[in-house]
Amino acid sequence: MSGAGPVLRTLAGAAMALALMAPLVPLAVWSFARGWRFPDLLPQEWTLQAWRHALSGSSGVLESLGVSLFIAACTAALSVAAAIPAGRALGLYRFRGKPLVILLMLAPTIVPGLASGFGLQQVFLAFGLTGSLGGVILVHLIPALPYAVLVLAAVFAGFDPAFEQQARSLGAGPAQVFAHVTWPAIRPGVLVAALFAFLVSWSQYSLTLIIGGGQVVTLPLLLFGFAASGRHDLAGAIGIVSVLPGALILIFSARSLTGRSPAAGGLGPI
Amino acid sequence: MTKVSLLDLSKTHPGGGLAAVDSLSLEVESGRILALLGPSGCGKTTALKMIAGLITPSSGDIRFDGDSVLQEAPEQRGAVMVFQDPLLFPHMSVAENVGFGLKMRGLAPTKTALRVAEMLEMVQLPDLGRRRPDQLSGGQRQRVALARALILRPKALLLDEPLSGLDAGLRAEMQGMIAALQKATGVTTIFVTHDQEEAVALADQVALMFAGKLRQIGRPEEFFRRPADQSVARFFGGVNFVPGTAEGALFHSPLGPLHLPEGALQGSGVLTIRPESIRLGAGAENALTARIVQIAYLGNQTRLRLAVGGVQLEASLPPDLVAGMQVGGDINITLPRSAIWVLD
Repeated sequence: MSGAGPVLRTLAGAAMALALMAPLVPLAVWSFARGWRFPDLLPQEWTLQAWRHALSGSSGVLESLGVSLFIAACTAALSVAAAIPAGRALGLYRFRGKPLVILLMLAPTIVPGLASGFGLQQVFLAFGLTGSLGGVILVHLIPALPYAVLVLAAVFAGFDPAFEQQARSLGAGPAQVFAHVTWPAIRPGVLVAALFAFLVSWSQYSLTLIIGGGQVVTLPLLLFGFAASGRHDLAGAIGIVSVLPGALILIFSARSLTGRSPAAGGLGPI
Repeated sequence: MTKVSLLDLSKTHPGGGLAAVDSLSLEVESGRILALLGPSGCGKTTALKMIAGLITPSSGDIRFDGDSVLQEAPEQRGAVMVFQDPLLFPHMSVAENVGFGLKMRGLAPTKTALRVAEMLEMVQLPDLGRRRPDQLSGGQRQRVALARALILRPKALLLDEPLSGLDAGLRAEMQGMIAALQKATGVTTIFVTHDQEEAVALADQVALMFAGKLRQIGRPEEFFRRPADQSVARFFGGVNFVPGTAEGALFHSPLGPLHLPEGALQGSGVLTIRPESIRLGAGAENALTARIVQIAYLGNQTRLRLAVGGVQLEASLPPDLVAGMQVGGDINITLPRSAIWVLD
């Protein structure tokens, strides 16, 4: 048994990495290909042309990357800001109608964005929010918030508020209590919640299209445009670019996400 | 040194129902220890949290040296609470935990470090400053929690069941330490407990609460010798209750006439005597002949269940005196006049 464990674990890890990476391989190949037709296993000719174009100003890729990053970062920050009090209420307190609140909270993850998107568009139009960055951020909060709230509810369920009372009694004001006692306890969970919200926003397509009205062009919109017009090489390059932030965040925050962090507790070591 | 006064302090919960704390009034003299004693759910922890400022009273007042502190937030009040669970901040070292309050006050780190070292010395953990809370034993954690509170030189130290999480040996040790620290610092202390032995061992004054109400307050021995009523007597281990009538200096009951101490209640009432106050042998007064119904050896004492005139009494005697006694045998006992008390 002692020898089999690590080997099995390594194999499982390799299989998982393969499953995650395999779909990206054709994207990567496409991004360096000039003409790649069935039944060729590999392209006839390799080129950096797609990448050169993607990284030049004229393609709009860099601009969309900036727009996507900005929207996702704002969505993550706002989600967490709202999810800390909401998660606290759901995780720590009992109150009437709590199951209903949870159901409403989860509704955006059950109802597809396309179904509700056109109704939302009417509302956003009425408030003049369509076609703006602010409007898109606002609409991204709808699918992102449930994840952030659920993560933080789990974090607060494992948090003993008596620590805060203890800190108050020891002379800490409410802001000091949050900074010195609550925040250190929930920080890993906040990071996970922010990561989820960021990635939900990052990969959002339909809501961005409906509310952004084509004026807010995020990376998925650009990617879809190139893919639909048959520019597989550019779509491949953008695809690779769009995988990067999530992967980078995961790598840099892995330490906070694994181990005994309460937020990742349910997931086990990642 | 602060005198703590509670005036008609009450807490009712918004849902209605019984008050958690009902018109509680008491005073703790400066530098003294008061035990708030009672069964679980009697409102004693609620009372303590109101003094700490962590729960807002529904009515009544809390005064430190005569000044109301109701308007002061918990962090300004100077009443520091130590919870049953030591609640050491897990992301801080022992020294950081102990220095937490001083840091919040903005004291310079070098000064804080000196005070922390001094405080850790006082609780006999001088070398553990760099440890993490999860590297400490239960008793050590409780001592760190105590140090973290005392370093602030609080006006009032509030301890919520400080010993109930510890095993018997540690408990005695911690009792001694709390008593010594309290004496050394002179801090007015209120501690909550459900254990009457702990209350008696540590406190100058005991306040007994039942169902949110103060039932009796006084020096520990008064609860044994002069309990306010049967429920108080029972809480302190009283088992002998004989109904009868007091007329002048005599109490008439199935036990026969018994001499009462001065100041005993008159008219119909219930006579009580603690099991350990019953003497073996026939004294000059209040001597009775009793039949042994049951003998229970409890190690350091032996419990005898006795039948006298159709009434059962329990006596607690040193095991040596009981050697050779048999169930069904008759013995002479004496109920010393000074140990008898008449309840309503």
